[in-house]
Amino acid sequence: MTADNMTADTDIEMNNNMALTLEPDKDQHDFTLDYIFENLTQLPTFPKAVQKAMELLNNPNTTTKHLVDVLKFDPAITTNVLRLTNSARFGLAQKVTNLETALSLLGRNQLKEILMASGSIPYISRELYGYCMRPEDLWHHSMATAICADILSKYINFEEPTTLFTAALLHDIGKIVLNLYVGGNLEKILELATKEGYSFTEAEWMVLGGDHAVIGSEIMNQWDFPEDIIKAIRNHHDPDLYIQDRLSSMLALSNILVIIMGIGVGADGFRYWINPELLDALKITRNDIYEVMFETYKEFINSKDALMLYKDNN
Amino acid sequence: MREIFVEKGTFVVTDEGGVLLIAKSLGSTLAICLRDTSSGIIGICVPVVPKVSTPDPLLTAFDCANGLREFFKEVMEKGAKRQNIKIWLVGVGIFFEGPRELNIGAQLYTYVKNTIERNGIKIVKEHVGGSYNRTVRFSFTDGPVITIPGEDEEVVL
Repeated sequence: MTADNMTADTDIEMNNNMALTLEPDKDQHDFTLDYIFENLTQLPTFPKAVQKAMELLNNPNTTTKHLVDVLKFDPAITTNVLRLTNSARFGLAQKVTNLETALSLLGRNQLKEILMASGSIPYISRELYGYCMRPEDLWHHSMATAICADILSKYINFEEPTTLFTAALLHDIGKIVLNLYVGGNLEKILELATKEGYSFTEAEWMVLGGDHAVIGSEIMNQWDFPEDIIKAIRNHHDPDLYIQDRLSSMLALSNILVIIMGIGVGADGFRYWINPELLDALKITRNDIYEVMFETYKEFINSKDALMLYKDNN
Repeated sequence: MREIFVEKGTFVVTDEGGVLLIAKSLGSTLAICLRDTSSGIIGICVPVVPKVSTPDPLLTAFDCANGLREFFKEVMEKGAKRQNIKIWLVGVGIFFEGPRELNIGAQLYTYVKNTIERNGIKIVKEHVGGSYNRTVRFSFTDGPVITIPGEDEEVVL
């Protein structure tokens, strides 16, 4: 198997709606993490318009017009921004029908969250055969993790809620690539995890020499995301690593709480180790956890419009 | 057969014939499947955490204490008799290892089991624990049918 015929078989392209044609090749048998990394360059890039707008939002002198000028030529992003803006999750009092009004009514942090979600939908609303996940599962899981991260940020006064939101939204992006490139090896991973009692991360390492968190962080690196987000995604399943910084710990905990609530859980399920010190590190109590889960779930079910967006991006 | 989906943090009790109750992707939550053959009642209640500070009227069963109280109140109001009630417990996925505070499924299970047994109600069978996610379907005629992602065969209790 060469990289050339892999490219031909895999058919990655973007159409005007940013929908991606990413079909796993079930005949592949000889993949390793090195092979996957070599081929990551063939992935579509994260929407440049969103990245440019995110940069502009970090500049206090940026005006609504600057943002509109960057986003208006990307119809898919514009559509997703408007639909998310009008969803209950972001709770504007009036229905918004054009980009300029949307951008002028939203706060900067809300705008960053909406932009990240708008840009991410095409990637995280895909069926993942190897993980037994339907198209809505990864989108729902990612959105719920991002909502939970947001609520957790408020509970412990985390100073970078938007950074955590972005990391939470894209934390499982590596699963897309594993599903795409690993072919028959996904069955081996699944068998090691489900029949032989290994954690999913251990099974991924045994078969590939890396896991979906490592692959996800490499994708984020190629997409030029900030170092702290890359690191948190890299760490989110590694109990020894995520305990070492707050962003990683909070991402790990948000993901754990969403799995506990059964939102978008696939075949990997609960096959992970949790650091026993995680709650102590974040100084969060058992009762806080119950409340965070309750708030997350309420907000999750109130975000129905946003949760349905996966349908239009498939 | 008419399908009724039971969302997390809620319950459904019905005496309508030909109904299939479905609680999807339980995670660490616990599906309490109930049947009273003499009065023709079935129900599922899916609590998520042991307690919350302020219950929400739309998610009556999110916390275990409130959920169980409201669930059994409706079951009894529909005419069930305590001695005829049978219960199956399904769910409670658990991680390989972690702090006790995050083993919320075990907390739910202990609370529910103690409460049910204290009230003299029979638990027929359980399918709880394990590091996997479950979906359960339950009708008047059969025991709960459980599906697990990545597993080909269903489990019938």
